[in-house]
Amino acid sequence: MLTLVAVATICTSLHLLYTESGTLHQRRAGIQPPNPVAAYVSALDAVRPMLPNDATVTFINRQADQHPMFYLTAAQYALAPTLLDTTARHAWMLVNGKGAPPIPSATPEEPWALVAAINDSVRVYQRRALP
Amino acid sequence: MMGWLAAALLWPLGIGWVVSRWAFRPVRHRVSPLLVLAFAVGTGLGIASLSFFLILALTGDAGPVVVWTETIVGCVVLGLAFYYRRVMPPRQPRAQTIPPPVAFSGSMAVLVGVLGVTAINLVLLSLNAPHGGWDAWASWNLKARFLFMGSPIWERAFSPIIAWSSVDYPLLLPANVARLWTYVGAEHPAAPSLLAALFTGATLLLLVAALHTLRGRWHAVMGGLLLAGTPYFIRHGAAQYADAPFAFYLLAAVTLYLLHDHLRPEKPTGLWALAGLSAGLAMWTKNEGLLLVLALVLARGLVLVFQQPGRGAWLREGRVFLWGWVPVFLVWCYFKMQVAGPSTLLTSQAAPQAVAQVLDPSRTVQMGSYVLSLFLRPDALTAYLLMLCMGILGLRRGFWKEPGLQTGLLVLTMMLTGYFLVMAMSSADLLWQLRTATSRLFFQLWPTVLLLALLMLKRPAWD
Repeated sequence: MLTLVAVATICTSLHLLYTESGTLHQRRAGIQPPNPVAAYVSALDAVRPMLPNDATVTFINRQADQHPMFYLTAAQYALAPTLLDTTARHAWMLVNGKGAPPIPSATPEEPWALVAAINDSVRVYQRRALP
Repeated sequence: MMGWLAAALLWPLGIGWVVSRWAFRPVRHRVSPLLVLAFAVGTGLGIASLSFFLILALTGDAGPVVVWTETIVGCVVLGLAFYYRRVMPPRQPRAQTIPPPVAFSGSMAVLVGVLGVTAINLVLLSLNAPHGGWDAWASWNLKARFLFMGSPIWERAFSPIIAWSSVDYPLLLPANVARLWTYVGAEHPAAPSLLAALFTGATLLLLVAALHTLRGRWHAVMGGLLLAGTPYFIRHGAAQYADAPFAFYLLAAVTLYLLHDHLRPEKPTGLWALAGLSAGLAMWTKNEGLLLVLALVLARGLVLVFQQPGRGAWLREGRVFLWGWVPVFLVWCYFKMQVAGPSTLLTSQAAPQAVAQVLDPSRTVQMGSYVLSLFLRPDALTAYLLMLCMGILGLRRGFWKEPGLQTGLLVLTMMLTGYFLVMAMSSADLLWQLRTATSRLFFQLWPTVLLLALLMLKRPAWD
């Protein structure tokens, strides 16, 4: 019985090892993208004309360089367009991060004003871009 | 960076080791240090998250104050331990002071090899998804980022505007991630990956060491192989979700009752306090922890009141359980009343509608058929192997009379019932909820299911 379980466990463990090491190898070799940066950038570029403040986008882009998680977050949401407005909420996170430059609409008294503004723009974009 | 991460783990592992060793003091000679180590990892990380949250709430600073406070407290504890050892007279040596050695056999070698491959798999999974799964970056690590930023930003993590990120969920995992980031000085993805691996590894170690103490080598190896051979457990363990810590604390609380009953002649009452702490930390991990605490107290009460020890034994146990549970409960109350956002589960559904949904047979059928469909997936292979084991070896005679096993089985039954009711009552789309939550809920219970099922198995004649 123990032998049967051991064989099954070794097979499943080695299968997982094979799959995951294959994925890692493909990512390192460039066969698979390392992370969905391109999706994020294209989504944000598409939204850019709709945004209220071009400087905000520049700032978000610069911050996103230092916060890979937001690439991933934004890209995931960008890939699922129905959830695209949530990207703006994450953008708010970036804007309010440590050392953020002063952005008029993101004052401490009204921290969600920027989110609301970006959300509105994204919705306009969605209405125009999606069938 | 890795040096700072290692330094950040010294405090939780040290404090966890001190607390766990204290709990096991009367029976330390009968259990393996690996068992104490497994408890030390979970206990220490839980205490570290509580202290980080309290410092943040009191000072508003998640930076140097945390590091300095922990260093000073660590030095005081070390000094007290040193003083205690010098002042207290040496205890009488026991007849048998060395824990039973773990015999290294072929099966143990296979288990060690499998655990090695599992460790590599955890690293590979973390490298392939450094930010974890969806909930990891959209909820748990998102909260950690707010906490890491300190005052005044951290409280915005619980704004109802981002209610989709479960703003009412407690902070064991986010506080631990933010604490590691505080030591490193940056939001490095290695921190949540390391925590995920630690909790997954501690769960595996706890299952193997507990089965070795309670039943012997064959059961320990079988338990380790079955858990490590569940691909979903490893993949989800690396996903940086709070389900991995929750699974650990559930397993820990049930194991402590089993260990207490197994080592009863030596009166290891400290294990009850550790069970209380584990249950409290489960509550500090996820809202399901509240259900676990209720299930533990009720199950133990049912088992003891209707058996020989009686109500007095339950009350005695309960008092010691509270020593471990109350401190966590107080922090949890402060968090829920002062910090946490509204619960979407409780606020989005009217009571009559919720009751109607529970009584709706079509929802029950939908849930049942979805759960059955999970058994057609490759991940269910280990469940079939477990059933095959039970079919071939059979169940131990009289296992149902053991209070520890009865407690564990009742807890599992109550947890499953609670999950069913919550899912049935929820206002969210049932199919979406089944797809996103069912596997994770089974993940939480699976190590405890393995523990209890293997304890019921007969010992094979060749062991």
